[in-house]
Amino acid sequence: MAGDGDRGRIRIVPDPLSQLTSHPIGSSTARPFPKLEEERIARILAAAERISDTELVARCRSGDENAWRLVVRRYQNLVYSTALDVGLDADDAGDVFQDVWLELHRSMRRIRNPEALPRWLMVATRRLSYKVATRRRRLVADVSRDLVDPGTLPDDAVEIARARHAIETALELLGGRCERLLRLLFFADDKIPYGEVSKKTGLAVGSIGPVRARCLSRLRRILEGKS
Amino acid sequence: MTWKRGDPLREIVERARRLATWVVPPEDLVQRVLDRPDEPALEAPRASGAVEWKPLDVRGTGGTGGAAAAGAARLASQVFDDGEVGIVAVPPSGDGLWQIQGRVWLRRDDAAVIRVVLVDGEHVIASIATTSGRDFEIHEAVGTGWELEIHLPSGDVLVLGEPSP
Repeated sequence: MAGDGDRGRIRIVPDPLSQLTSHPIGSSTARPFPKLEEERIARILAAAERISDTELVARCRSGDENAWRLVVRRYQNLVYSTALDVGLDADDAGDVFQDVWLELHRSMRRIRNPEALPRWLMVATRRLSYKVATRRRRLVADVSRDLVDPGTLPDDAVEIARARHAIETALELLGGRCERLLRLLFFADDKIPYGEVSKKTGLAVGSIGPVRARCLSRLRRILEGKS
Repeated sequence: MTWKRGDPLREIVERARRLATWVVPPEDLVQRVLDRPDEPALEAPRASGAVEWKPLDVRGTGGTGGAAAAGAARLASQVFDDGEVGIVAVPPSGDGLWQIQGRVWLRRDDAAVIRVVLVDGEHVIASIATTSGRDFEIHEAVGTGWELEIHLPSGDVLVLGEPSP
């Protein structure tokens, strides 16, 4: 909220894309930034995350390099995970990953509904996964010619991928102890006893419940775009 | 875990958990695609204002097509103001990929670049540069109903639909 002194003034809001660095969204790799820098980048990325796909695609069409980088960062995990999900190994998934972005670049001016970009990317990834698998003449259990037909990608699969993308981005923005705790509680392969969670997070067993509630509240605020 | 029924956060987390694989790609792999490729992003012919011809004499050959020996080869050709284009398209067989070979001849601008683009809906599957009289070949996984666009040096675009069997 602007104070009285700001009334009537034009507020210039910095474009988050113009401040974007190469810091990845959704990356779980080590971060080289000191804490203050990390927080600044997290704020920029949080703002950037609220830029719609429609705006990003429009900016890409007009040649905005930062918009292109943000599209890649926003959906890098979706593309790579989709390639692995259909049964490719890491090498082949890496080849598909590069080909998908090339195809997106070529097709940028033809995308009619940019808000459906996740579906577009999944369709391209599945088709290119099929191509790579057949070119390698490898038998991959889940790779069938069905992948070439966009009609075989169920809406539910796209919605699940969108949900995962939203959660992963929010968890990254949350960071620190909250991110670790929520990942252990909600995304571990097996249910982890509180004693184990306590060891891994340094929280007393009795504190896990209240901290979890606060972390969920913060996660909710990020997902609602309030943070 | 205690969640309120109908809690949207619960629903989004439950959905997110159902995706089996969620892996961050190696950073060196991501770095390779952060710079935009040099290849041009071509407008769809209808949006670019380019003149677009639909071919009149696209036809299947029932297996007599020249360069492609496979039985299902389909031929398509088109004469236009500045030249002629001919393709042989072989539907997927063992490897599951379409094989499209062809050549464009221009009466003028022999050295000028011609771009051949394979399109499936909103996806530009392949985009290759060629010149008049030179063979081009595309080997791609693509569904039925694809189109081949020939972007001529004049700015005009010739659109060839998938030849029927």
